[in-house]
Amino acid sequence: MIEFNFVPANLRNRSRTAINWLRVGTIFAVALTIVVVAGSFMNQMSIAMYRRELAAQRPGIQRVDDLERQLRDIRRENQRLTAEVSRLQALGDGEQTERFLDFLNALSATASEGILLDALEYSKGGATRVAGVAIDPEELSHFFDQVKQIPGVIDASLTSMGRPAGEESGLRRFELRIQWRTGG
Amino acid sequence: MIGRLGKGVAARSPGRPLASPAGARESLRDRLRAWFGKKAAPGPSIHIDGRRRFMSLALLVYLLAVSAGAVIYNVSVLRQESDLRRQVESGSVRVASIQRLTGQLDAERQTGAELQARLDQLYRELPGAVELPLVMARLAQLQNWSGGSVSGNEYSEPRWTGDLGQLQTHAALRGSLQEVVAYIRAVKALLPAAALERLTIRLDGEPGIVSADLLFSAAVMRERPAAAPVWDLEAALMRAEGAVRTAEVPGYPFTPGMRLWREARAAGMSLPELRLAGVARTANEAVAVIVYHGSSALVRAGDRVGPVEVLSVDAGGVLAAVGGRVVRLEMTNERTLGTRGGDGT
Repeated sequence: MIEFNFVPANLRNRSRTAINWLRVGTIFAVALTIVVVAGSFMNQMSIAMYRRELAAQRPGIQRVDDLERQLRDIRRENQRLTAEVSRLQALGDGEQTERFLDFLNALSATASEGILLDALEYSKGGATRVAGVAIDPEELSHFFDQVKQIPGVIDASLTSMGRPAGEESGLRRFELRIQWRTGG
Repeated sequence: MIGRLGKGVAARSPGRPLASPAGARESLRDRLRAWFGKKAAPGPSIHIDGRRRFMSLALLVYLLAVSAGAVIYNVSVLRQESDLRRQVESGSVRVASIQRLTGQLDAERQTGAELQARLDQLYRELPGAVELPLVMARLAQLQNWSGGSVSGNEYSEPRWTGDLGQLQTHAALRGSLQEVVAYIRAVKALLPAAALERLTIRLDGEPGIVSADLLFSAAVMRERPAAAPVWDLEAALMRAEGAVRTAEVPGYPFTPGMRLWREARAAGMSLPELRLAGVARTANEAVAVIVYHGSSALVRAGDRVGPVEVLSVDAGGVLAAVGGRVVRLEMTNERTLGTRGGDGT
């Protein structure tokens, strides 16, 4: 077969292949379509997986909801009980009477044979007045020191002291005011 | 370029290489203009036919549509996926908390049971208004356990605040300090919602014997809730009896030692006379004459004269217990030896 080349000799081998953009675009469109479809499919699969997982969790979540509801109800009931218990407990004096009896025990224990009490007055709140006689000033001083050391005593003061048997005798009449801690 | 036919390069099928005499160096603008069919300048370079243009446009539209659709669709899908993932994550955390919740629930149930038991106990300890006469009768009988002699048991009408009321009850008791303390403990045990408001104790003419004036406030309930337990009298009495048994005072502040007794009496204090008038011995036993409060009595070991309990009699004197203290009475002088149950006995 005889062929003719009409391209001048100086222009030969200078041509270049033009890009077929339509083909490129078509290939790209096909590829994009595949990517989009695959991506969408993957996303749907992912959603389906999460939905399955969520469905599997549902019984557990329902149990948690149930437990939380029970916990709320019980806590509400416990708060009501606590308030009612507090209301009834507040009717007494807490431990104040008990503390006074402890104080009275301690006071009794400090009174030696040289001390005779003849009056004791107590009012709710911790104020106590004690009156009596001591065989001599040393005994009274010792008694006073011991009273101040009784646990819970905040303040003890000797409010009066007299000589019921005159100047010759060591006998002393005294009166103490004692404030002790009622709370805590 | 090799041409088979002499139709020119531009007339060849699309997609085939194009030759350009000018070296195919057209600008993008020229190409676009040619693509839209507006190529003004004559030349052999580009010729795009209608079908190719249509295909290109369709492709472009398709690409845009696919891209836009993919974006719109997948954005919504990804958002949904994100929501689901968040739900799954939070669900996992919640499901993992079942054990902790179960533990908390058990603890709250335990607390609730304890609170209910405490509340029931408080209701059982709290008398109702209708039980007040019974309570007062029991208070008057507490002296049977505590000792001493109680008089003047009386109470005020309750002051009501809602379903709860406060009343005051007063009592006078004569006895030892131990008996006063036992009575207070018994009242508190009988009525735990009671409070000692005021107490006055005075030495009552005899060593170790006091008269006490007691004022208590106590709470009562007008109407209790439907399911609340009623006042438990039996338990209250048992508590009171138990409280009396454990009441103990470690000392005798209202009993003087013998020396203080003598000196205080001499100074005018209201204390009775106590002295040994004489001791006589027979072959088998010793007897003594004790003067107490102006009257004399012949005593042996174990005898009692007022608050004086004779422990022993010997040639030198008498050992006696008075108001808790142990004293030695002798013809010349008297001594305190200690306390009853202590080193002097």
